[in-house]
Amino acid sequence: MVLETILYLIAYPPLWQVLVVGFVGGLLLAMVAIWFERKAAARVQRRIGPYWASPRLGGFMNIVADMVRYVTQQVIIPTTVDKVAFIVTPVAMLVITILPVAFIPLSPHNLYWPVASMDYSLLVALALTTLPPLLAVVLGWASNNKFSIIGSLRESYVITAYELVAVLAILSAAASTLSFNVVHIVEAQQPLKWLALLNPIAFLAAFLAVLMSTSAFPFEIPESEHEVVAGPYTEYSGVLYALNMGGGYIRRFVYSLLIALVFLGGWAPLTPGLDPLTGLIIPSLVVLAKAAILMLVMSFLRAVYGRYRLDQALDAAWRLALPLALIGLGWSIMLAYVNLI
Amino acid sequence: MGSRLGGTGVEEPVDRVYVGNINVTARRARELLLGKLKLGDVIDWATTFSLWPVHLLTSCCGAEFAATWSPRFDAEQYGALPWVAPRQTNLIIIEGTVTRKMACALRITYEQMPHPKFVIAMGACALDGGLFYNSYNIVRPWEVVPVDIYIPGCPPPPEAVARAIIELRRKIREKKLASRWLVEGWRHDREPVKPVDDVCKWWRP
Amino acid sequence: MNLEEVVELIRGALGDLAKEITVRKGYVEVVVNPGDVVTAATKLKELGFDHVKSVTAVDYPKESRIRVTYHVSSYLRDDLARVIVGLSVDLSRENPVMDSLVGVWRSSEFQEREVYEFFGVVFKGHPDLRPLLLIPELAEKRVLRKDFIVREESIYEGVPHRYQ
Repeated sequence: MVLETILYLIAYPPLWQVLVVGFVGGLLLAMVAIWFERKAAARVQRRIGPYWASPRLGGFMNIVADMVRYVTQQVIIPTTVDKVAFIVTPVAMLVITILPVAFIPLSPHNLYWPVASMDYSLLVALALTTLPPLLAVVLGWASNNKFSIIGSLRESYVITAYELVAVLAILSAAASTLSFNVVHIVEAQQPLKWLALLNPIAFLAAFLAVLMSTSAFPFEIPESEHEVVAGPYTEYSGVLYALNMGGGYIRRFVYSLLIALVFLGGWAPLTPGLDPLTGLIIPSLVVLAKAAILMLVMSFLRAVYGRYRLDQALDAAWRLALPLALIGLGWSIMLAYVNLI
Repeated sequence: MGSRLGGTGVEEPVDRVYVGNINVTARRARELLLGKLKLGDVIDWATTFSLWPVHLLTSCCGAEFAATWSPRFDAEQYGALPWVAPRQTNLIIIEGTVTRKMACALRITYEQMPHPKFVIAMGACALDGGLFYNSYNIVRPWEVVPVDIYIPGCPPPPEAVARAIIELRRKIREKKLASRWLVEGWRHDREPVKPVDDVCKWWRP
Repeated sequence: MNLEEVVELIRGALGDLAKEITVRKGYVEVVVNPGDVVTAATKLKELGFDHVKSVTAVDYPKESRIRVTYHVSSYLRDDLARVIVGLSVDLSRENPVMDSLVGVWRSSEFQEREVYEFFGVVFKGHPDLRPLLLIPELAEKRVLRKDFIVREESIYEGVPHRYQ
């Protein structure tokens, strides 16, 4: 009785979807990704990495220490900045970054999240993921600092080049499954007909574009520290900087969720039941695990690749990634034509 | 900003709570959270494990600084991560000689960092001039910024730098520097250093 | 091309401008009058010496002169790249003024600023003659001249009053 009540309370859809999966899951995964980034970079360079904060957890508490330090540190607001925009933008960016989670169904049942029966959920989620980079430009403009403005200018170049690729590559799934509904897309690839296996080119293009548009490491151009101090975030300190940094990782988490659903078969190995445990909680945890693996792979790439120059990255965008995405789109249309999926 | 760094500077009667006075309410909340709920220990612990030094390379000690974070010595075990921008850091390591023009950069970098912030002076030149003890172009760092830890040596080995970070952590834990900064708004264990003469006079038009 | 041929080349190019030419191992020093320095530099550049390696000065207080030397060499011609030519000018110590060579060799701009701040040599026609490494108060003392006295014991010189 009590157990069932607690289970129903946890599985209460808005609570589970937005608060547990979107916020707590996103934050936890972001922390794990940061920790893994530092640890993997250390291992590649034959160092130990963060360790003494908690030797049993391999230094994971170090990230918690960083967070607490940032939260309790002084927040400097320079006199030259646009104060309202300077303070509001990081908060708005975090909120808008989490928004697409509301349109990503983690369960096939209409009962648990009404979005599951919405016919254009993939389109809406993709459209919402393209919003936060615009706020990064506002961030640089509000800081009124030359490094911030140069950083946000680079950000806008990179967005223009790579958002298109990301949207095209992820939408190619819709072309092969003849639906914009995420649940239909997941169920079309149900017995191991994952789109990542059938259409690896579109998957590669989507992966590249996500790496690039979240300015993950090989393409960390807007924040490259030798050229522009910290990019759009140069003037930010304390909580506001922590929000910015966390916002970037949560954005990558949202993209990873989308790719895990669209290309990696979603809750693929198991078929969801009807009660809250097997119908909502376990499928969404499977999707989270796939997204976590994607994020960790992206983090590992940081340790082994150098950074691209801006012109090289844009060149790669227009000459390599865009044709890849177009080929992937054609491939998925062909998949639909031969009725393979 | 008030008289001391970050303080409100307004003396309010403590026995009554003004509902609308945000300064008194904020101070009371601060005292409750840090004094009674022991959040201060958590904050001090967090600060000791995230001392991010900003990279202010002024002379040859920078090579030893780099070696401290390189694979053999690896000071990142203690949570210290060298960072580029002063706004996100809380520790500044003065790597060697400070010339008169560099003193301006040092002071600007120090003032751009958010509180609570700490300073480590590295090498004989930063202690008292070192090799350039009688030079006309040298400033002692303690005339410009308040120094917490000195590392002797010319240059100090990487072990000494790591040791200085550990000593600074001990100092923060014992004197509760980070949490008491939150309560009082200024460093209680030392006076703020005002430069003797204007170090940036040559720079301002 | 060996050293003697380079010396002959320089002597032929400069003609009467060179007051004296001293040859050491791999190094040729040419002394010219202060009025002729731009002409001589232009001729050296036409010969193939395309950059300035350093600009330096030596103070001779007993003879009351300052000798400014431009060390020039070549990147583009291999045979000239083995030789360093010093183009020297003797200036009076009281009023050291000479023409700037920034118009001839652009790479001498910052080094002329150094010579200006350390020795007080004024370069006429320099685009931006400000102190480079020192603050302006120190630059007025002309710290590398031989009559600037460096204190031997100055450890406690800068201690603020509250520590005394």
